[in-house]
Amino acid sequence: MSSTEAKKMVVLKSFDGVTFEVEESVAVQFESIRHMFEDNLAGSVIPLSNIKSEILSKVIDYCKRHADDTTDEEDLKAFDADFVKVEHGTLFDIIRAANYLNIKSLLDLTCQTVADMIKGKTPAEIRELFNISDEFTPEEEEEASIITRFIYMDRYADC
Amino acid sequence: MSLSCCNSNPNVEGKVEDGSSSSCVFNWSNLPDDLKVEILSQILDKPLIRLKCICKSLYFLISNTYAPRFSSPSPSAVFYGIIYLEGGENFLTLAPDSGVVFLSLWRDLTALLASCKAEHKAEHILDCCNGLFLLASRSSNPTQYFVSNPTTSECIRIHVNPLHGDFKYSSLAFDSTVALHYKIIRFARVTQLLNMDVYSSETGGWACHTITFESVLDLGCWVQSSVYLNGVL
Repeated sequence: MSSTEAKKMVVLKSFDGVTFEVEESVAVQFESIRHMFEDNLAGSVIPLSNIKSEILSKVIDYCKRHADDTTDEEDLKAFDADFVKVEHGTLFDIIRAANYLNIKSLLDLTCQTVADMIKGKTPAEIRELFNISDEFTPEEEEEASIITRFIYMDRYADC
Repeated sequence: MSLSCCNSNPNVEGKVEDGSSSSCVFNWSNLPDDLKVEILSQILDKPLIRLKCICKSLYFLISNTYAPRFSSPSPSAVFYGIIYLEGGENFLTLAPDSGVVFLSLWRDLTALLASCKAEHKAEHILDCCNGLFLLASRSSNPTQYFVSNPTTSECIRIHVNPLHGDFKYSSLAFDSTVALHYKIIRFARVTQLLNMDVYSSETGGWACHTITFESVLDLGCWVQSSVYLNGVL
């Protein structure tokens, strides 16, 4: 496409010290740090102290693909579907990173993925899936379900 | 130079192993609340309510963040109010000739109250607020209160405060768009001081509030209906 010299580069440094050189056209998707390189700080390293290199490289991959105008819609969908096929831990790390960098489309994609995982599962399955300990005593659980039923049964009877 | 810019640092490959092991200790509870809300907002109402029983943080998060969203008062609530107001305590004898919707609601209500009466001896209807009814059994001392939801056909026995004397005027406050909890307000002893006993389903206990009036209230009788003004009390 355009000549190499026209491309402005932004250097990002992950939590574990790995540096990434990213084209500015890709990095503009990082809303929250955008001002840092737009304020003429080109060349200096932007530290992202709470994102691991593994996660950052994934996020950059995602943004590269989405910054590329030549990819068509179908390919992008396939890429997104493939992108979220990762371990739960990684997925949640990506959510945190997308939130921190304020990348709306990535945040929506990952949150939707987690929501889809939750759908159609029993509470016990979800606890296991997300490693949540069951803090309710049986009495509390019963009480919670009574309150919910008492108020909502007319509209949520088949819950 | 142009090559390295497109490809992330090659060192990353070696570091992936270390990184993934630490991400395994991931726990849902480590996620900040705003991100949990972000995820939960993708889920429909029905499954969302079910999620409340997963853990305490979710229970409170969903109750507090989403209750207003799916708690517009039940459409039938208004009708229960109308039936009640028209007939007062004797509405059971009210001739149900007011239309089909009315009739089925009236049947629900009659059936529920009949069962409350049989089971709990709750023979008096004291108040109706946004679809919930306050019932009492006046024969017991102190008064035994019940809160009943005709739509779900349930009747809940309210904990009795042994300090309460005999029957007093009472009303019910409930608004599902604000909170899932209801309150029973019981007015006792009116002179210059108004003693108000308030039961909250949130705490499950009674509390006493005293209000001092500037002038002496000289009320020959109570107007036995009440208006629920949100936030006034």
